[in-house]
Amino acid sequence: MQKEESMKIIAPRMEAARRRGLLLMRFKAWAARVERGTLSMRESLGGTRTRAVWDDPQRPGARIALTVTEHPSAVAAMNALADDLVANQLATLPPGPPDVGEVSFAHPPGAPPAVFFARANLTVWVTSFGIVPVEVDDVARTVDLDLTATPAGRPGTLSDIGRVAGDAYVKVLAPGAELVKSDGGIVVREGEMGQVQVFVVD
Amino acid sequence: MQLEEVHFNHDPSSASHDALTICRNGATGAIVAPEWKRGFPTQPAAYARDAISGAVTIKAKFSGGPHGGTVKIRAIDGAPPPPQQSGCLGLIVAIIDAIVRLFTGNILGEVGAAKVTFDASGRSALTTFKLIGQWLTPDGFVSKRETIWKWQYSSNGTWIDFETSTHTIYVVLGVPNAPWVQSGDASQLPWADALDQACAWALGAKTLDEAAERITTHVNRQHTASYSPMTMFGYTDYNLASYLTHVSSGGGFVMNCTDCADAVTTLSNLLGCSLAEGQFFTMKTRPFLTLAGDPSDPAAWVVWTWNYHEICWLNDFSSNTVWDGCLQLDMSNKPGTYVAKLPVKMTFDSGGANNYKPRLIDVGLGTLDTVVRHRRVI
Repeated sequence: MQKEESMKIIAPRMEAARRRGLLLMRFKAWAARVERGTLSMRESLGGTRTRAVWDDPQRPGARIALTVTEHPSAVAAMNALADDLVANQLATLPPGPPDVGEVSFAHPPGAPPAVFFARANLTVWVTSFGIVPVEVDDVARTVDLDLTATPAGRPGTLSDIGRVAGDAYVKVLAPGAELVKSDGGIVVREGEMGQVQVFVVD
Repeated sequence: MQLEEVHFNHDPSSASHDALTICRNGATGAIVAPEWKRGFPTQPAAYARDAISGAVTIKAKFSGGPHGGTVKIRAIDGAPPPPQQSGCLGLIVAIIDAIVRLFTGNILGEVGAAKVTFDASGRSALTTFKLIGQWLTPDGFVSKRETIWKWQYSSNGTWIDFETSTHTIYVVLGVPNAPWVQSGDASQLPWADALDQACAWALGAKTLDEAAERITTHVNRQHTASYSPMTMFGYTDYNLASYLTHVSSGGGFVMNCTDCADAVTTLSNLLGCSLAEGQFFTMKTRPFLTLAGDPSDPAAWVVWTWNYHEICWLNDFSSNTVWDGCLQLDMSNKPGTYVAKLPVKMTFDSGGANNYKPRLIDVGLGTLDTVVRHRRVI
């Protein structure tokens, strides 16, 4: 899909995404909340891209892959989604589920199911990955809801970011602000530092 | 007497008389000679058949020799054919053994005898040995082999065994081409992990055309692969490590034309071919057999409307010669019947009805991109 075409849909959503006040750091695909199947593969694909695969034990050959790439900001993620879709052979991609992501696209009927969306500073692909096609809209919805949810427990501080290890990730919330990763820290634009909440999610 | 080191790639600037420069994978850095060193895991070596001119040499180092003396050392095939048993069963066993040896056995022959000089502490310097009776040229073919050498020294006219070494040897047809390199970025040196796959898929190929055809066929006929329009193994760089992982895992995975073009180009070029990935734009296709599809299943013959399609080109667009591991064309002219043809060294478009382009595109320009690619492997 040509970038000019996807940007016609993405560009109008850019401002809302920019001010969403949500940033994720060190997020790995296998940390996503996927409630279907069994996690069977974790891959680091270079840079900040990771992929995880879930197998459906009830349906041999049915697999779902989640490919997640972390970007510096929501704006960068929106632009990156358009770049990602250039690597999709289809001439056009219909909109994805309206309640998924800041913006989403999907494979049309007849193609192996897939949803591609941007949320916060992430681009997320939820794809049917096996030889048996699997519907992925519900999976994408669940993953996205989990990304945007406020974690339980008390928020930590910005200094917690440097102490995150293993598969834990950081979720930063600052409603109305623009959050941008910078040199391992966070720049808060158009918002108050006092409103920033930092959660370490294990 | 002990063998201490064996060096196959003793001249990293050349592949004409020694092994190529390779690495295990993109994360490991170059495999630096000695590939065999006492007390350490053995590293593989690879030879490019057509790059070899003249004698192939190795270098080796020893210890425990005569202090300040000189000894003749050689190595013979450590796994010679067993004596043939009598009767039909013996003949059958011998034939099977010969076939296995043909494809996986010693390709390097024997290590010719050389005089080795030892210092006062009984250690030798690196000594050059010429390989004799080796079959790398001219009949070598793509393969992964095991060479076992029984090292011997000469004493009073008798050869005395003192060591056995085992070596993994890859044979490719030519020096690997882009994205693979022989110097510079170590992550782009030929990967042994990729050689395992490419040599298995193209086993026995004696020509570059045979090698590219076998790689294309295997990419297309992986029963665990199926088609999806999204590039799953990288669009800027090629995530070869991930592809190899999925192929070997046995689990299902999806891939598109870019992924297939990358796999065919990258693995073929590892064997010495000169393919490149190149795109063309805007088309509605004729029915074609989808990736890994069953030609007898009408549902496997599909039509897509694509913004782009990516295939492999010999050198670049000007060759007008293509390979496509992603699909099989329908060469039938009868409606409702299909004849599958895997595009292998096919003319892209010279005006003929059976060229690749008219067999693939129903409606649309199929405009060529301006550049071809050799995506960097990661």
